[in-house]
Amino acid sequence: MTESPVDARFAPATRRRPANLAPAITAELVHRIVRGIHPPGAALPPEPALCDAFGVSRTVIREAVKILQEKGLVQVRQGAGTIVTAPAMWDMLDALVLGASITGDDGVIILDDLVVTRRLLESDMANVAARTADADTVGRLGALVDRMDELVDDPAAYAEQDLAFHDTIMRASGNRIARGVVRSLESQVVNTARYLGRPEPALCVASNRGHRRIYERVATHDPNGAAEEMFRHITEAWLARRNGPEDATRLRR
Amino acid sequence: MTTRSDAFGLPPRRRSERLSVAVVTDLVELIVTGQLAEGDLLPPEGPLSEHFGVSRTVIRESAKRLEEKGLVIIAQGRGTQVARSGSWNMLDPIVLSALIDNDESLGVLDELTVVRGNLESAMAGEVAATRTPEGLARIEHALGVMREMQQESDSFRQADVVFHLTVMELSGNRLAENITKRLYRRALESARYQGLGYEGAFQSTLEDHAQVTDAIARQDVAAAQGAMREHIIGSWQRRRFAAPQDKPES
Repeated sequence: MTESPVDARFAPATRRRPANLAPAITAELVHRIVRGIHPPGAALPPEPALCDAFGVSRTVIREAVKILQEKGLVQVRQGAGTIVTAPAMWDMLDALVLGASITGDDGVIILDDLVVTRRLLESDMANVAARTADADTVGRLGALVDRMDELVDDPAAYAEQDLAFHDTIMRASGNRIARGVVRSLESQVVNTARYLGRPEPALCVASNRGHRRIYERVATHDPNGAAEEMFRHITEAWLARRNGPEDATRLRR
Repeated sequence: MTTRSDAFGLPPRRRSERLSVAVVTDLVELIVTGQLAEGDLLPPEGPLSEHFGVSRTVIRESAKRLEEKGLVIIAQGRGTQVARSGSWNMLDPIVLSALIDNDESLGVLDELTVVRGNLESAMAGEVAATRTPEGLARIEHALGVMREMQQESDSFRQADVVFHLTVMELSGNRLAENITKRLYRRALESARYQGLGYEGAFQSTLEDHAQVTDAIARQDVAAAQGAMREHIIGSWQRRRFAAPQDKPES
């Protein structure tokens, strides 16, 4: 049941449903907490103050606070108010929390952690895939690598095949949990400029060399080789587009 | 309308919220076990609301929750379709629970153990590389508590968990910590993850943990990684299969 555009323009404020406003306010509060504007241990401003600051009703503020609780960012304590929790309690895998963490000054560190995590899981999956891959899978991987060679000047199209290549290996490994985790991580950062870097044909060329080496190890059923090449590929591809003031020490191990 | 707390000291949940959770849990189970296969369309709203005995609003809310979990795709006019397993959010509490509860037919605990092994061994290595005296003290303390609790199964198991969580926290990789904690905590709730007890299980766990602690103390990254991985995978394999037949030496 949709309102016509005319109705929406003249709809009085009281008819706006809370559901439309709570997400925006939640996002803003997540941002403020993650960036330390409301530091751990401190209480959020009381409800009336938040209502005033954002110009919304208590219902909206309460819904936003409930969502903050679900994300592990605050605890509502009787008498003490709504207290910001320690970072260890935060749901780092939540899109808003992760997104706000990444845009911070040390956001590159979080991305380093993401790459390290992804690298661990994917190199192990490459190991298993090299052991168990059938002719079909090997054929598919080879076709994808060849296709990507042709697409280096079209980074968007290249990126699509890149995902398919990695996913083919993950599926071949049979580890649904590991694959699900990697895909969840990827989906959280898929639109993050800091993670994607600037698309450049030179990067695609370099990255596909890594893909080809991985493919060759899988095709010859060399589990350790496949794991090593996957490890190397993910590391190199990230270092090539990583843009940060900090040293990439986390990636060394 | 003021939200006064009810018997639990919490604001009462809207009735449709509670019903939605029940419907979502049921549908998650059907999808995860393949009874609703990838690509299948869910039945239309009408029959679904009749089946579950809830309103269409509840069905619609439930469908949206399923979409948030990556389990279905809602297309205007085309209905609600079961999504490919690659999109499923495996770390979602309800999805993970359904997977683990159906471990007998799905075998996810093996996969979960491999993921734990990979992530926790890396984290142990990270701790070995960067540990502080305070950090080492915390780990040694956790090990000491386990030693003291050997006679009380529940306390020992709790201390075991605390040891692992301590190492994870000290690693500084909050993403890996977060992921692993979720998997680990949920798995611990499953009787199948506890597996079969066997003679000397506590003793070998203690020895494994002592090896990890030693490696961390020596700042030996490779040893810490190896010891942690071997512990997680090894102890799962031991309790997953039949216990050793040999009588223990006294």
